[in-house]
Order: sequence, then C-alpha cells, then structure tokens
Amino acid sequence: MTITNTIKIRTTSLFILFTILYIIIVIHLYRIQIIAHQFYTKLGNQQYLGLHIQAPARAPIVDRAGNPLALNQECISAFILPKQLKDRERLLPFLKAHFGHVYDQLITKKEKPFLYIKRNLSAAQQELIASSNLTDIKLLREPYRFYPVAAASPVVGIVDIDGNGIMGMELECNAMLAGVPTTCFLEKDARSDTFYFTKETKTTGQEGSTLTLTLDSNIQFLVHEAVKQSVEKFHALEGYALVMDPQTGAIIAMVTYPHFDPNNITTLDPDSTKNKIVTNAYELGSVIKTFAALAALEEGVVTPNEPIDCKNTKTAYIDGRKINTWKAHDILPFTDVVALSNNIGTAIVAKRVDTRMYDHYTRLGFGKKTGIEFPGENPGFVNHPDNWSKQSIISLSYGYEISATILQLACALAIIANNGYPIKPTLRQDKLMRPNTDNGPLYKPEPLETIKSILEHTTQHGTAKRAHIKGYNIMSKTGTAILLTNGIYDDSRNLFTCSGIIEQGNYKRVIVTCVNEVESKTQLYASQVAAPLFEQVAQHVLIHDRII
Amino acid sequence: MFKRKLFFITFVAVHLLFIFLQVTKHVQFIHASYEKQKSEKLYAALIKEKDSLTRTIQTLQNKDVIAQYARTQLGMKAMNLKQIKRLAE
Repeated sequence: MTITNTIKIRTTSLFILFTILYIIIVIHLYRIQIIAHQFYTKLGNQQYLGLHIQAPARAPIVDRAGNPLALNQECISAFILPKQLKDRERLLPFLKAHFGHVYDQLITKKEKPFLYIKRNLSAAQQELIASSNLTDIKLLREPYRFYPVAAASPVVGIVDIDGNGIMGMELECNAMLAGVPTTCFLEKDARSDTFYFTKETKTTGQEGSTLTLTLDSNIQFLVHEAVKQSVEKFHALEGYALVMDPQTGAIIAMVTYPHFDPNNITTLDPDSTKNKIVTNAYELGSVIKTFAALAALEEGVVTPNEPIDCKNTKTAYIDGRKINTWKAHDILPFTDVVALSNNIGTAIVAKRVDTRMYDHYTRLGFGKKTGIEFPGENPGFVNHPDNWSKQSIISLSYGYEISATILQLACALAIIANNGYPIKPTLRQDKLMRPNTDNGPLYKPEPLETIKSILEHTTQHGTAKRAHIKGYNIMSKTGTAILLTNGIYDDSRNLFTCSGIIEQGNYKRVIVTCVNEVESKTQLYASQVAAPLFEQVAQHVLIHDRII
Repeated sequence: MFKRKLFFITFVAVHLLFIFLQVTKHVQFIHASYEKQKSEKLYAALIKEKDSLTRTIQTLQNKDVIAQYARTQLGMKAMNLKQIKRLAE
C-alpha cells in the first residue's frame, strides 16, 4: 500500500467519524429543540418568568379625628419544609413537646412541601424557637392587624390570620380595606429571586381605602370607662352606651361592656364579640312610653294637662289584665303620668290610640332595620294587630310585645330631636346625611314640642332626675324592663335603660345608656342604675365638645 | 475594488454600532430597572418601619395606661361640669 493510499484511508476514516459525531449532535439537537421543545421552554419559563400577585397593604381604620383604630403590623411566623429536613432527630422531639399538632401533621402528611408551625408567634415562642438552635425551623414576616383602642373592638371588629375581616367594620368594609391585588408577569434572573428584568402588568390593582369612622376615640374611651364603672358597681352582667348626633346620624360612641381584647384572640368568648347595641333586641320597658305618649298626642286623644286617674294603687286591672306599677299615684296630669312612669295611666291613654299604636311604632322605625352599615343588625319586633290579644295594647304602651335594639331606640329619639324628620344612623364618616325631608315631618310640630316638654319635665321632676345636669336642656326617660327566662317574666332579671336628648342651641346629642341584670338584694330601678350613667356620659360628651 | 471594500467596512461598522447602541440601551434599562426596584424595596421597608413606629406611639399613648397613671401616680380624678368655670367668670 502506498503512502498516498494510507493517508486517503485515514482521512476518509476521520471524515466518517466526524460525520457520525455531527449526525449524533444533530439528532440530539433535534430531540431537544423540536421534539422536547415545549418541555424545555416550560422549564426555562419557570426559571425566568413568574406570575406575581401582589396584594396591597390593608388600609387602616381611623376615627373622625384621624386617630388610628386599626393598623398594620408585622408578625413572625415559623415554618418547616418537610421534604428538606436536615436534623429530623432533634426536630421531632421538639415539635412533639411544644407544638403537638404540627408533630402529628408531620408524621401523617410527609408529602407536604410546606408546613406552618405557628403563625403570629408570641415573644415567648420566638425565644423558645431561637434557643432550640434548630436550623430546620425557619421564620418569615407576615402582616397582621393591631388595634390601639380596645374599647372600640365590638365596632371595629377583627381580621383572621390571613387578613380578611371576620367581624364588625373589618368585615363590613373588607373589600374597601383590602383593595384589589395587582397581577403581573415578571421576567427575572433565574439565580435571583429578588430582582426582575421586565414587568408586564396583567391586572392593575387598587390600594385599599382608609376607612374613617364617625367614632371619637376619646369619647369612646371615656364612655367606656363610665359604663365599666357602672357595671362593676352594680355587679351587672353587661352595660351599653350609645352617643349619636341626630342631625347627621353620626355615631360618636358605641360601647358594649364587657368586650373582647382584639389584640389577644387566642381565648375568645363569642358572646363578647357581639356589638349588642346593633345585634340584640330587648323588650325595653318604660322608655317606650315616650313614643306611646307621642302617638297619643299626635292622634289628639290626650292633652298634656288632662287629668288621668291612676287608681291610687300599685296593682290594677284593665280588661282583665293585671297591671303593676312601681308606685301608686292618684289623679295625675298626663305629663306626670309619663314623668312618673305610671303604667296604669299610660295604659288608659294607650287604649284610646288602640291599633294605631302599631302604625306609630313602625313609623318611628321599630320592627325594621335602621340600615346601618354593620353586619348582623337585628330588626326587632312589633306585634302586629292581627296577632293582638285583648291586652296587647296595654303591653305595648309600656314597652312589652315590642322588642327593639338600643340603636333603634336612639333613632326614634332622633326623630323627636330633628322635629319629626328621620335620620339614618351611620358609622362611616363618608356616609353622613341630613335628615330625610323628602316626605315632610313624620309628626306635627305641636305633639313634638309637647313630648319634648314632657321629657324635660321627666328629667327635672320625674324618674330621670339623676340624669339632670344643671344649666343644660336634657330631655330623658328611664325604663326598668323585666326579662324573660324560659318564656316567663322573671322579676329577678331586669334591663335598666335611660334614653334622652341633649340640646344646647344648635348642638344636639342623643344618648342611650343601658345596664343589664344587676345583682341586688333590693329592687332597683333605672332611675338609680341607668340615669346616673346617662349623666356621666352626658358630662363627658359636653366637656369633650366644649359645650360649657 | 476599493469602493467595494469601503462599502463592506462601512456596512459592518454601522451594524456593529447599532448592536453596541442596542446593548447599551438594554444595559441602561436594566440598570434603571434595578435602581427602581431597589427604591421600591426601600419604600416598602420604610412603610413597615413607619407602621412599627406608629404602633409604638399608639402603645405609648394607650389611654388605659395614661388614665391608670393619672389616677394612681398623679392622684388625678375625672372632672365634672361643676368644676369647670368659664374664663369670663
């Protein structure tokens, strides 16, 4: 074989070898770029492209002066990655000892990639985890809510662990506070989880809007203190107080005591979370006489000075119905029948109104919701004439067979304060309204002026004397209602209410105070329990508003 | 021949220039984007700091604590209307 042939053979062999290698590369490239194109594109996109949903920070809730009632804070939560544990032997005993439920989950659900140990760790728990030196336990920061004014907790409400409102105004205005998340595609560096090259917005979000309530946090605190003192003094079950501006419907203070601590909800009594001024309806007793009297004056069946025979007894019978009254009175002018809260005299006059009483009560807003933006409002109940017995009008005249919330009572008083025009109550500063004058006043001026005089007389000389503040025009009425136990009226369980209007020139406020079920060996009345509370609340409001 | 060479060199040079400008633009964009993202992160951190400080202020201004201190340490009491006199008086 010649040298030329040898070279030719070697050259040809090399050519064939490289050709084969080249064909292998082409086949491999074809497999990667054509056949498995979608797989590798998806893999690449996972590394470079990301769908990012960014929820805006939850907006704060503030009072009418801008003082915060609900703020955002950060909390620390602990988690583990079950598929990436390095020191399982030390971790399991620790979890078993301190976080048993997580231990159980870890044992039973091994395929979970992520597991919370505890969200919103307390300082003690953070210290415990830090001292354990377990690298498998990782920490992250999460947003949560802080509530600086605990006294407003039944009104403001709370959020759940994921920041969604579940009670109160946090629930009612959840969409407004939460805003709308922004969704965007990010093209980012595969090695960096932090920075991106380009950002394409898919859905433009919206920041949450600050919710401004009509509450005044200073008055809320002061009224809360007064209610708390009253409840503690009388060893009562509960106490409530409501302060409202009748000219705009703005609720300035709304206190329920006892209430829950919104910053510590680990042990939460569900009953203490309710805003009972809105959610609970009661048979309110003699405070309803205000409206029975207004109805009688409007219908023209009685005049303020008409003498009414109250039989001079504490127990009388009308239409076979036994009527008890707190004190025996003889013949009284109608004004004093109301001022001294005589049930017998009230029933006599109410019988003249008869079924029209139902129309008046519903006209005043009883038996239907006020429309306040708050979840769980109770509409209350007024017994319809179709369901009346012979004695229903008697019961209705002094506050039975009718159940109402404290808020409904305040709104009915607001009609009197506004000279016959109704107002819708509100907790939102952006929903303030003027009294509804579209359909004219609900009552004629004369009955309204008369009832105001009667209430003023009640405050100065009647059962609401303890509510009187010298130098101020206060119109109020008390009521001591008997509560039901298993469908039977129980004399040992009473609801004490004092409701009224403060007027000083253009300044007006409606105040309702209520104390529920006191412990007492002797019979107590609202004049001793709720009226002094009314006076304290009124003082706080007048001093704060500088009506001096 | 010379013209052909000149055309070729000019053609290549212009395209290289375009590529250079394109790359420069992209680098500047990335740089600006990076600065923007740094600012966004700083803003978010400052907002969190502000929330934290607001909470600290609110905790210090807790009315229950202030009222308790006023009563127990300073011997103060709640006032009533009778105790308030007008300046004119």
